[in-house]
Amino acid sequence: MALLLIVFAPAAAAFVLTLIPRAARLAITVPALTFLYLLIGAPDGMSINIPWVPSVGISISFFMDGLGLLFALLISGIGSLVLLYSSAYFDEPAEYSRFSRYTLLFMMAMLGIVLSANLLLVFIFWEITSITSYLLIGFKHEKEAARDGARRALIITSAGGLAMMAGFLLVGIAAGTFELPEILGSGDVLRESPLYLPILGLILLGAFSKSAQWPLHFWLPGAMEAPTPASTYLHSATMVKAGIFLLARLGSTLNGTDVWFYVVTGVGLITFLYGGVIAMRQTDLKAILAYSTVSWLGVLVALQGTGSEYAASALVIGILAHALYKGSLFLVAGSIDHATGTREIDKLGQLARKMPFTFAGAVIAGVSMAGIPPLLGFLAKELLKAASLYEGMSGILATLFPIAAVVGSALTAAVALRIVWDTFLGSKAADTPHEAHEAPFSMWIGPLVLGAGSIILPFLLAPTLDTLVSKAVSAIRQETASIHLHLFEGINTPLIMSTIAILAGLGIFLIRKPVIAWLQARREYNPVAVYQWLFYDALPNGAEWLTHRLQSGKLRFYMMIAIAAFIAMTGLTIYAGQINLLGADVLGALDWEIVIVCVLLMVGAWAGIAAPTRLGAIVVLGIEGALLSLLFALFGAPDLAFTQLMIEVITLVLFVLAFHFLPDAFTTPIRLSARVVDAIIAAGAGLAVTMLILAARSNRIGDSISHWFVDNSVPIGQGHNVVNVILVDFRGMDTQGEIVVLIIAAMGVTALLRLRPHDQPRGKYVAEDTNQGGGDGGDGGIDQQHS
Amino acid sequence: MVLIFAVTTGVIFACGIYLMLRRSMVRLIIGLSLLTYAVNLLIFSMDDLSTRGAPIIGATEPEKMADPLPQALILTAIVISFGVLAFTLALAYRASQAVQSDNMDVLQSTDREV
Repeated sequence: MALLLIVFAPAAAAFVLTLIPRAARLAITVPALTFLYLLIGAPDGMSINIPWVPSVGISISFFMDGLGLLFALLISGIGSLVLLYSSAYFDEPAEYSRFSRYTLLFMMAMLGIVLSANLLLVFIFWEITSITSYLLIGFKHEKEAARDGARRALIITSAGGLAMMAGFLLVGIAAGTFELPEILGSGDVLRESPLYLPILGLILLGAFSKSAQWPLHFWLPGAMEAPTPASTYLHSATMVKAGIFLLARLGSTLNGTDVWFYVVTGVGLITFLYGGVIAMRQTDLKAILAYSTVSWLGVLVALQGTGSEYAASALVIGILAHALYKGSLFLVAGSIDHATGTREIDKLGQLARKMPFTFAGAVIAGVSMAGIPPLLGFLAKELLKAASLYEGMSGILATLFPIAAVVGSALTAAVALRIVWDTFLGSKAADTPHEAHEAPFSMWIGPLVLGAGSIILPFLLAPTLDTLVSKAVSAIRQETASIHLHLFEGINTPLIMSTIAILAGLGIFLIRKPVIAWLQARREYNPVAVYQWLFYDALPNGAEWLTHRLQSGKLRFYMMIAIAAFIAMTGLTIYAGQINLLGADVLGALDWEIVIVCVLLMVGAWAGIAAPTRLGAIVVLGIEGALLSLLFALFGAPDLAFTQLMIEVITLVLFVLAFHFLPDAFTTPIRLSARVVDAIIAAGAGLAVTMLILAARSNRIGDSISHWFVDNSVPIGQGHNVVNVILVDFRGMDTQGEIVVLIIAAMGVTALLRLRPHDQPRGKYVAEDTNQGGGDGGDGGIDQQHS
Repeated sequence: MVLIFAVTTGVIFACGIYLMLRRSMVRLIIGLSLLTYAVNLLIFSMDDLSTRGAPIIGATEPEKMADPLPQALILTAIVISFGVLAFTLALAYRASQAVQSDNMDVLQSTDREV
């Protein structure tokens, strides 16, 4: 029950905000209370399971293990700070309220991802995060860049999400269940499944696209169009870690193979280095942070390649440390943007004195990011190095991992120093649109609280952190773990590596000007070009080409396709099923009067084609109807015969009336070849129908239900004419529907005849009619159109 | 008996389709009418066709009755197809006013101009 409340309370709060927008400031209580409850009161091993669609194994089930707890704490904790921060960040109360609603919805989805115990539920929440992310990136929807960025993020992450869903379905097939606790407890089932490679590929695609791994990373920098609180929350602290979460969640059932190790570690390390290098050449503060986020997400992926206990602890601390320092830096960037009107690092400088509290937050975060002791970032980097030296690895990646860890850490350190120094200190004074001033309390308190976390947590190792890390590592590895972290473990290889990395980072920072200039002069390999080509060139043009091919605008063409499909399907079914067409029922004694009527019907149908004038064709049609009515009469259907004759008379009158108004161009010349094709298709369709009837009559699979109607007509329906009783009694609802169809047809005919096109230019009836309607109604519609 | 029914239905169906594939709007509508006949015959041929008494209790012995169910379905179909035909004729009238032609292929000219 508590779990349901944790997940859905934010959604309820978002709903309340739509009713009472002014209550936005109270929204923070929801994540804050959740955070406190998780921190203090949440018991271990909560779970709930409500069947939803049991026939396909979907249930609303949630459970909380160490991994879920870790993420839920981050989501609710940083969510609280972000909501607090945005109360001052947005100048318009309406914008703040809208932002809070989106953010709360996102919070619900994100908590859903990390706490769901059903894979398909995970997928649903996963897609909701994509949608809320889309809404938040496109928050300033009047800006084209925001719309582009939002669309790009949506396309990439939801495409990845669909791949992931396919992977989940395969997991369901392989494991026989979608319930996560059962899958996690099923050992080697997935690894030994023949579906292992497809499962792995699809799920990795989902995780990599969400967590912005190279080469799918490019949506994340584009997502920086979002308001900075959203970037902090979604695109740094939580949503982009959903992919990391997914790998951690399913890692214990999928890892351990060579494919897993090479793909996961390889892609992760490429992303780590690539993000670090590209971050150096950016000048927009948020772009720098975005690429350095990409870089660290690479680490978090790479760490999952081995599945060792060191790597799992490094992962947990890495997630925590990054959320604290990067969240803080994003908030700082937002405050600077808010205060000075620019995020260009070249225009900023010496802000320390003007924004002391923001500066303090930035320094703590920067030091943590650079991996300088004794902050949490240092511990994360130490554990990364320890994990990179894990002995269970083999091959070239075993050599490259430690080197990449040092180089990447050095780049991270250089970027961190650059952000703090060039913005707040430096020799150059700020040259900004607005005069810099300190941000309001609710904006600087966030970075300071996060910073306090970075400082205090390393010193609370035994009492708090060790418990949380042990729980999370146990959940990741599905093995009880008892982790004891130490900030200093004496002089060992990881410490030496860290020292080298920090010094190298300092070195890069000192020569940053030529380095950045050199990097900026290089051409960036950018996969966004491929994306642009695919979604803005190939796809629309391909669709247009195909549409022009298929949509000729000629009814004949569409009908030919439909009829050809009918012929093919009927023919194939009869051929492939070897269906008997000449059963005992089919060949019976012939009755000569029936044969004569049938032959006349056939001749009449042909005469309909051959008739030279339309009046002739109508007469032929009338004769056909009369013959049909005769046939009905011969076969004991007086009601049918009578109705057919009546309708035939009305139809004739209708035809003659209508033809009076229709242009008289009955025969239009057409090429013989086209007529032959038409004739072949028509003959094929006729043959298919003949075979359909023969097949149906030769292969009765059940008893007729007709005798029931005969038996019950008098006792139940109180009528002797069985056909009538069926129509008005047994199948009365059918007749009711038939009457409705006739009414609709009558309304359609009336509407069509009343529209007067003569005095209006073609193709514009609708617009003009709308205006007239608005004028008559006298409501606000027409005023809005003009204003 | 079923065989001749099946063939007749097929021939009427084929003629209807052929007429519907013409460019003339009037031929399209006549083809549609023929198609309706063919479909009604198709339903009718699901009857046993060996007993020909009207399904009226008291007037006909139950074992000599024709199958009432297809008859009821066709009765509905006849009336509905009349509704469809009336609507199609009105549509043709309206369309011919818009494009000043009986030719189906010029119907798309209204799309192109917008």
